[in-house]
Amino acid sequence: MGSNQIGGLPPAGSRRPPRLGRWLLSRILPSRLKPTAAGDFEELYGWIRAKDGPRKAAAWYWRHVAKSAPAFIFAALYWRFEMIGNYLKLALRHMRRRPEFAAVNIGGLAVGLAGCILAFFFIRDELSFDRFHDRVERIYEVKSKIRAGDDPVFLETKGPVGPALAAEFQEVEAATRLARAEVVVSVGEKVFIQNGLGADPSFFDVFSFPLTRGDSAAALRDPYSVILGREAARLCFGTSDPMGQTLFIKIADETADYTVTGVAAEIPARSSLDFDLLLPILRVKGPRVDQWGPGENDVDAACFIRLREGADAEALAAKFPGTLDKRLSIGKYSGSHYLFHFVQYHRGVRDYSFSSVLKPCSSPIFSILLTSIALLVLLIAGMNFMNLSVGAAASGRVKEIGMRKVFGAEQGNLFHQFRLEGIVTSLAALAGGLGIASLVLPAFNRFAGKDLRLDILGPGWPLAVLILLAVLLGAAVGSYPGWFLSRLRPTELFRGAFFLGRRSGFNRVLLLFQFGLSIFLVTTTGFVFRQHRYLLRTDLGYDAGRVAALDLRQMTPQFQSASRFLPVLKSGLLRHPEIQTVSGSYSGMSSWSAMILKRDSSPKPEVVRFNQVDPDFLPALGLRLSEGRWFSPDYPSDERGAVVVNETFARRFAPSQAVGKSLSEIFNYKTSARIIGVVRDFHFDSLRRTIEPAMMSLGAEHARWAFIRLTGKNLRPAREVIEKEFKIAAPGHPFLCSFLDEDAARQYESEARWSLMISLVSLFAVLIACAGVFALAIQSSVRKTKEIGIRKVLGASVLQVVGLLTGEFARLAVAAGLLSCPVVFLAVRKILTGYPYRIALSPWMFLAGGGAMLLLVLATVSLHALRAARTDPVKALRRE
Amino acid sequence: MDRILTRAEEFLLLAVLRLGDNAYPVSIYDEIGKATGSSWTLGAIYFPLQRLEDKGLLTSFLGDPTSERGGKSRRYYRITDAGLEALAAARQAQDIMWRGVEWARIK
Repeated sequence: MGSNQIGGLPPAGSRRPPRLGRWLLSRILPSRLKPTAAGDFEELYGWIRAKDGPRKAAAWYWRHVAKSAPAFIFAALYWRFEMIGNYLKLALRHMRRRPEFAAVNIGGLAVGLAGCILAFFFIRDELSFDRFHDRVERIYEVKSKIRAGDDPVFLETKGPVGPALAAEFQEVEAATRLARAEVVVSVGEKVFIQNGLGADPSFFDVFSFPLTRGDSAAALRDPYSVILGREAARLCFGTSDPMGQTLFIKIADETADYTVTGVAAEIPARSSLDFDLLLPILRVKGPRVDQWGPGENDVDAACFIRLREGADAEALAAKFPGTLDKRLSIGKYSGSHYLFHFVQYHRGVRDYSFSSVLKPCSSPIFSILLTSIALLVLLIAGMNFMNLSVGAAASGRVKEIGMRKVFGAEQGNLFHQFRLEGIVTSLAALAGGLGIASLVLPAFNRFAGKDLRLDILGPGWPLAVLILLAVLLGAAVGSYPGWFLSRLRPTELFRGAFFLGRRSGFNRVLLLFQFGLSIFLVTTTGFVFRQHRYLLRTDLGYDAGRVAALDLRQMTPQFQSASRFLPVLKSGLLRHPEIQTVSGSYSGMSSWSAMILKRDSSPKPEVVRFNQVDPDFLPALGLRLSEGRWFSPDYPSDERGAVVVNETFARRFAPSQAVGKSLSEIFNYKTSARIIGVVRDFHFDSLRRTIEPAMMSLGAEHARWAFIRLTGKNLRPAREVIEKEFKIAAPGHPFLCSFLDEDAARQYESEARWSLMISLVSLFAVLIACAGVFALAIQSSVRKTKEIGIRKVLGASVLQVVGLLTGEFARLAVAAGLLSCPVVFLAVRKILTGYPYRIALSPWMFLAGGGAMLLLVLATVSLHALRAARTDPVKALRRE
Repeated sequence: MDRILTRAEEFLLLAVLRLGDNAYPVSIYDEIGKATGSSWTLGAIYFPLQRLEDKGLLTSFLGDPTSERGGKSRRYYRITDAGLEALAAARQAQDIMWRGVEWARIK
């Protein structure tokens, strides 16, 4: 082949190569070759066609396109690497020239990424809960379901179920029953309250808690043996050897000597099961835990099993109806047994959420909220980046981009340039985000009750995941400015007509969205804050600020019996002027017992809260009587046959006349008690619950709490007085005293934490948005320099010029405020439905959030606009 | 020259030199095909040409677009002084290596 004419005139009637081939070639050609190589192919095609005909020419064309492809693709890759180096240089140069934009961009993204990093580790931690047990997938909890009424409840099993499972079912390798108890440990002079766990000796066959001392196979065999946790061992014996030592332990009402037979290694933080002391379950639950009882008064215990290797849990569960379930169905009850997968407990899968022995499981809401908050901040920061990049182009980089276009930079080149700038920025932000995350980690751990470590090189390569995330994020946020700017014609670029101008709809939408998000966060924060303050300040119906509660539940029975101890303490305390009244009570605040009573008129059981108090209870707490009278020593009959009810009780059960009514008239309940008085409603529970019907009767001999009313509001000296008197009356017992308002506030700790967290987040969001707005304002005024100059020459005032510059932003802020209202309304209503006592959704709160944002935006923009408006118009006009 | 040219590079430089003012990929491709009898892939000459240009052994400029090429320009190549030196060095090295071998082979 070949021709002498090459390089001469084109052959007559030459046609173009196959269209598909041309297209294919243009796809594979590296950009640097594009302008000429396709022409070379086409020229040669023409010559061959003229010589050998169209068929051969087409075949030649195809063959050569196919054979060239590898070389072209290789070349394209090679040149791309070179270009990336180039882009990188430009990106860094640009960032150095505009450090304030780079700071806003990197800072914003860093905060968002820090949130994502924390969320990532948080969720990973959640998923790895309880996984440290050997073959944890074979561990199940057995629960029973009782159908007594309409709604079935999952309960812990009857005591003897555990041993029966291990003995009768070959699938079960081991079974252990568990029960929690607060125990009082005394060793020498020291007294501690510890978190005790009762278990069968097979405990270590089911769970993997290694012992540092002692033999786990034998450690719990002895009826009075105890295994200490690491911390408990240190607390009781310091550095000396605890093995074989004797501890004096009180569980419920039983006190005995126990021998230490083992010391457990530290329990991992990601464990649903923890304990300070491990004891035989018989000590915690009593001997009846081993008996199939007559029914109603059986002793329940949590029951965990380990299946044999290869055993099928469903097959095991299928055997229950014919065996275990029969023993559960007694009288009117019918029940059945179920298996729950232990690893799923922490995540609260299905109905498996309640447990009396395991730590509270996490609610997925926390992970969801954390992630969505982090993503919101990331979103705002990403929008900042997009707007700032376009805006920066509007002011500073116009010439760079325009010139590059004039010199033949392709759309693709500019696109890659911006995308790479996005990636560089977000990688820098990732470094910053890791820094921020490790700084706030201790606070976050306290907040979330976790023990997270940022082991970014650990298993699963979190660093690789994060870098990938950052690269994707950078590519995403860089693509918009890249696409937008590379599409514009150079003349448009030079005029700067695109920024916040007619063709910038997307810019406005971004700003609008950013403002809207900020307003949403600020307003929601406002509501959450006010709700929290409302919870703290609502009148609880008693004098929470002047009453101390003294917990007597840990005392030994001989002390607890009121006839001996409480009068001693009372008379001791009342000698001091700081103390006004002392009262004994069976239940502490927010832990009143519940009685289930039936009425003849309806089949639905009624819950009535109940407490046994002494005659000083009303004055001690400052309760107010609304009808009838309070208990009085003048009426000896009060001792047995009198109750005082609250207003809710009276309203619901005795609307006409409460005082004088007998309880047996209201309920299907054999008693001689009559209502002698009605007290005003007060919040014995937290404000998260509505006030329930409640009644009180006399029963000072059962006191497990003392409520002490102070004369003044000076709490600290009073506390010292109480402690001194308590130590005299009950030496060697733990002193557990708190003020009721503190206790009440502690109930709203999660609200306090949440409002702190979301206010921090909205602060960040607003700061990022403001920084973005400020940078945009600079750019907008640079673009309008000439306009401002002309207007000033024509006599516009400074105020008018400021108005010109701020108007655009103000309009957007107002629109964002209006648009965010319904979303805020829905979100706040959702949050507040959890509270029966809540603030009203007043419209001014909505206005306040939007108004604050508007003011902030105006202030930010004016900060710069004033400077722009004051500049000498001559200077402005001479600029070009 | 720190490195002796490869055979392909040598051929490309020689083709450009021989073609004078008319050296562009199609003619270079044709020239090499005619001289060696073996046909290269057209696509395979761009990358070495580019490499030679990057090394400063060739320069290039764009010609005017013509209709026979679908409106695309030609990229013309011209050898530089460095290119000539490199060719000379390659020739010299080759001569040295062939000394003695040539005679034995023919015999």
